[in-house]
Amino acid sequence: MYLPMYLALLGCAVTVLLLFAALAVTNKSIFTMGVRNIIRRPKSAAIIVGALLVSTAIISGSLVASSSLGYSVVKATYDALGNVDETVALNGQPFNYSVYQHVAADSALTNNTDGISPSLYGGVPSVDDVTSGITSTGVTLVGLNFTLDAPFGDFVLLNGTHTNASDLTSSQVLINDKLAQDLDAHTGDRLVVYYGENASSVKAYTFSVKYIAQNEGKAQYELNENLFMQLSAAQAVFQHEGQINEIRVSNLGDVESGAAKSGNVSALLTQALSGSSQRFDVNPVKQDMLAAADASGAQFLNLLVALGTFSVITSAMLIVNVFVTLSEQRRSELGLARALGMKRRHVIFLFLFEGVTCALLAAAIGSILGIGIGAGLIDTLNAATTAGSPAGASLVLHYDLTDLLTAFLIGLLVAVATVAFASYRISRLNIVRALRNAENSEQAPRLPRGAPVLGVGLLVFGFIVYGVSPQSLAAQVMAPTLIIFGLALVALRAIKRQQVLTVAGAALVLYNAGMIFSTSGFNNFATAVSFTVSCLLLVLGAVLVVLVNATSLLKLFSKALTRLKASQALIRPSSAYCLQKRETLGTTVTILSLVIFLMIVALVTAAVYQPDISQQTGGYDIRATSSTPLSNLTTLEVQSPTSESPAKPVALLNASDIDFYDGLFVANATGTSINGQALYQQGSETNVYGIDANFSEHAQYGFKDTLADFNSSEVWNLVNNPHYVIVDSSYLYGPNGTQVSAGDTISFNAGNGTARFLVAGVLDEYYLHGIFMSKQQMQHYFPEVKGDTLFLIKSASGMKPIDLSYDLERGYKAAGLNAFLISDEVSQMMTQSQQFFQLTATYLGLGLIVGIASVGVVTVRSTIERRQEIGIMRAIGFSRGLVVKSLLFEATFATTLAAAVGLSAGLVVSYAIYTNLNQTVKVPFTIPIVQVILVLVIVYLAVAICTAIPARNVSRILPAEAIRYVE
Amino acid sequence: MLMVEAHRVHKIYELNGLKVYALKDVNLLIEKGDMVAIMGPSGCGKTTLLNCLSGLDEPTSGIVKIEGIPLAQMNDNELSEYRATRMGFIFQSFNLLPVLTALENVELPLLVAGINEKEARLRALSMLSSVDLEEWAHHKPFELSGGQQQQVAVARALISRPAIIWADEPTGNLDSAGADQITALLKRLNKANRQTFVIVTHDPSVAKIADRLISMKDGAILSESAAPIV
Repeated sequence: MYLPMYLALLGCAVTVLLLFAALAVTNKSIFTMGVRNIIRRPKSAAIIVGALLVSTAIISGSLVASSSLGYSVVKATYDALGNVDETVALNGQPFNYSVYQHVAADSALTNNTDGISPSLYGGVPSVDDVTSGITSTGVTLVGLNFTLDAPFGDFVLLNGTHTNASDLTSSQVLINDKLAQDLDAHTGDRLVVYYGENASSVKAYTFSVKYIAQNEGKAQYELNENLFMQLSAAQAVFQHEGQINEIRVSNLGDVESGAAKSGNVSALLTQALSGSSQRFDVNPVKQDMLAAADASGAQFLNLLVALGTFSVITSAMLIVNVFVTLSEQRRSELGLARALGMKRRHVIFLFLFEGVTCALLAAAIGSILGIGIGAGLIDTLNAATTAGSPAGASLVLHYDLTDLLTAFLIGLLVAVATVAFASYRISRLNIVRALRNAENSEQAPRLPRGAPVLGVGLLVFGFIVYGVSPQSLAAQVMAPTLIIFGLALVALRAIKRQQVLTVAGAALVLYNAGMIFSTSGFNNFATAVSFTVSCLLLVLGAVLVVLVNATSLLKLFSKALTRLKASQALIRPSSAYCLQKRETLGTTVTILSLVIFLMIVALVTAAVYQPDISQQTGGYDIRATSSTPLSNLTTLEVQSPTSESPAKPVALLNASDIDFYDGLFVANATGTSINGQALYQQGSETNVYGIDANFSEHAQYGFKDTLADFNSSEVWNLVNNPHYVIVDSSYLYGPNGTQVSAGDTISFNAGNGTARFLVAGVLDEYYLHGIFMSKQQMQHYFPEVKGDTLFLIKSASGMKPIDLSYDLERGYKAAGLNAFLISDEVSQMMTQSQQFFQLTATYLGLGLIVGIASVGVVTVRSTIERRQEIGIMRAIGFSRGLVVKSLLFEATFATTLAAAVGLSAGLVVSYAIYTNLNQTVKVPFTIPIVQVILVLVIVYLAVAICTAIPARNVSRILPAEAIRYVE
Repeated sequence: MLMVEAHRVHKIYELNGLKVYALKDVNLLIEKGDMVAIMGPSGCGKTTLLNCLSGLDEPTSGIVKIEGIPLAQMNDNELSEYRATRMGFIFQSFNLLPVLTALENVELPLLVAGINEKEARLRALSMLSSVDLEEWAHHKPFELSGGQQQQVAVARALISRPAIIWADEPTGNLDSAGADQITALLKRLNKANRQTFVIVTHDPSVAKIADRLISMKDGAILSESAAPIV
């Protein structure tokens, strides 16, 4: 949180508490009464504290979860990079060692850095531990000049001792514990490393393990299984004599403070390399990853705040209801107090003192309980690893005192504001009439005389707000709302209340629906707040429309029930009560609408992201990647290694097991942009695939968009033209995340310049994320690519894909081949999305519980209020069952209205989210009807139970007792 | 024909462990068509007796029979149906449902008894007319005076032509003019329809119209007379 916001928050809370203390000192007796109420009624106090702590716990949970996310990504960044702040590379290609010497000789750089080190690293197909007989694939070999690399920190060995490994000979290696565990390796073991530019040139190199380092510091470089050796030895393995492919730079300062100097050092590096004929990339890697961590943490917080707001509002309504219910129970006591001279403000103070004392306690407990909620959210996110962690790292629970204190302060302010409102609300009760058990007449409130003036004031204020900053989201949400209510207040002088409020509610709905449709994502706090407020106003506008038209709707509802042969005796008092007690009806409908709205949004959004798997597989079963290029998959060309290492078995794959397969070139491009604009939240690195005619013939991917007048096969043919490429549908660019379309220009860094292409077609898939071009083009732009390293395979009928994948991995071990079932991978991607939506649903579930609890309090309150009336009904012949049915009628009517509002608003917002996010993934908009019905049934049952239990209890009281009921 | 029988009826309340004997060994017989007034000082058990006899409350021990049927043998549905069709209640504080209009309050017992909506509405209007309140039919209780509210309560009690009407201090919250109006109304109805009336009252003018007067003290029947004793 920004410091000024935090200080403002602290200032507000301190002011409120000082005011509270001053009131307590000047109203000692009232304060004593208020505090004594807590001790006298521990159950009531527990209910108040329970209701108050919900909002604090939700806020605290959101802060803890976002802190954990930010911290985990930052930690992963520090772990992965260690002291490395910048890297210099040449688009992944090796370059001459002299470049390092040139950089290291730059005095401006040496004055600002504490280490500059050359390295040559890359993946090797496989590593065998001859001693244990275990093979590991996907190992990273890092060649370092350990003396020059010393400033980047020591390796910490398993026994805790430190070494800079400069004593390694050319036949010795240091491996990290991650690789050691994979190989079951120990010091002294003999390792065979296989590497070749292509399958026919694979050679075996033998090393002995001298050190095993703990997975920390530079030993866990890139968080991989790492094998470190002398730079010269690595140059021999990679066959890049005298070359390196990365210069690592450590800025002055430690792992954390060094990153702050990245801007300056990057500029110096760029300057130092400016004279080179080659185009080097200076990457402030640590700063970039830290910025990404900040952004992801903030974005996550925005999402949680947006979702949590609904629960906070529902809990605020719960608090008001709890207080009003308590005041109902204490009305005789309050009446007596008023009779003895207690003024209305004293009643406010009495409840305020009790409430604020409880609020302090609740805020403290809630902020601590939030740690549990945060832990739950982090657990859920960990289950959805990729969706949750941009770095792919496991998230750890992390929070600091500021998080808890912030939650405490916000929770306290929310609670105090709610308690103050509830206390004021209580003071407006006609306590004297309540004491006599006389019903308050609840006619529609008269229009205050000053309403038109207030209306004009709102209108003027609305226009001023809009005029000051028309582009701001706050003005776009707030100004129209002020104008709508201003106009309504003015119009009420001349036009019927029902008509005016219906139009005002409808205007709110329409305007905010438009706002929601125009919102794209939760990129910043203002957008998140604007989206949340728009959703709230949409729901409240719809609630307003149904409430002012409740009479007509109730007639329809009653008519429908009459057709179902419901007794008029049941309908008559219930419908009268619904219309008379608009406040109770309004509260219930509002809470339930919000609850249903949230659940519908969560369900529909989750359902939309269950795309068709077959659309993503392209008709293939297996995706296989090899570290070494392979020319074909059916007759392996791996030669026995030339050194003394044991011969590798030649793979014996039965060609008849494969129906067909396609080999693709793969490279990684940097500096990707579309139409000259940076990619949207995707980084500038992207995959580039080299394809041939076989792929375009076999792949069953459809096109989402193509150039006009080109059919699918013509678009595939266009990639043979050097100016055209095909891309998948997941590319977004520009500040608002515009989706790529055919005809756009896509470019990336190539050699000393920039390669530009026209997008001929956008594939209707996102599984293979990247740019597709011909293999000839690939070799032109990426000369280091020697052959196919990605294989898409269709197994023969009768051959199980899983068995084929095992055969492939076994047979092509020397080539470091890994095979994956595409359907599994797509399902996993979907599962991760689903888990993310489950997280959302879980979070919204808090609102559901609070909402149901709140409705429960409303129904209990309603039943308590009507105890005497129920006695009268019993006296004139209502059976217990009829009394319960009568109250259920009201609950059913309220739930039906809420279901109509919540369902329609939920579907509108879900569709808006769908159209917004659908830019990334094209999937049909589907409504999970069964789940939606289930949610409505659950909500109805919860409400029915909350209604039936107190109703049944009251109906069982003897009529004589109920009639003479006085609390 | 016996309308109400009470044999050895006791009612004991427990307040904070203290037993309060509200009714002590009450025995009572009321004939069909009787107009019975129950009088006595405050707290003597009049309302408790009326509640126990009408089934609004349960005696601690003893038997109460209405039209020969022991109340204790009726389940809730039977008792509710009996109250809807054979009993009418008039309370001191009127006890009209505040959310319903006068007309709706009056027609409600008919709807409970299963009479269709149209007929219920006609009969309720007619009943309100008979108590001179047809102009106030669509007003809510809080818009009526105390006397008018009690007239609505009387209309509601009589709408289903009950065999017995229980009235608890029907004039207790009324001024003398209102009380006289209600008293006259009750007497007129009793004469016209031969309905049984059991009236708990402090008001001598109400007691005057009764055929029998029962005096109570400390939860027991002190005396009973066929003629009013004022």
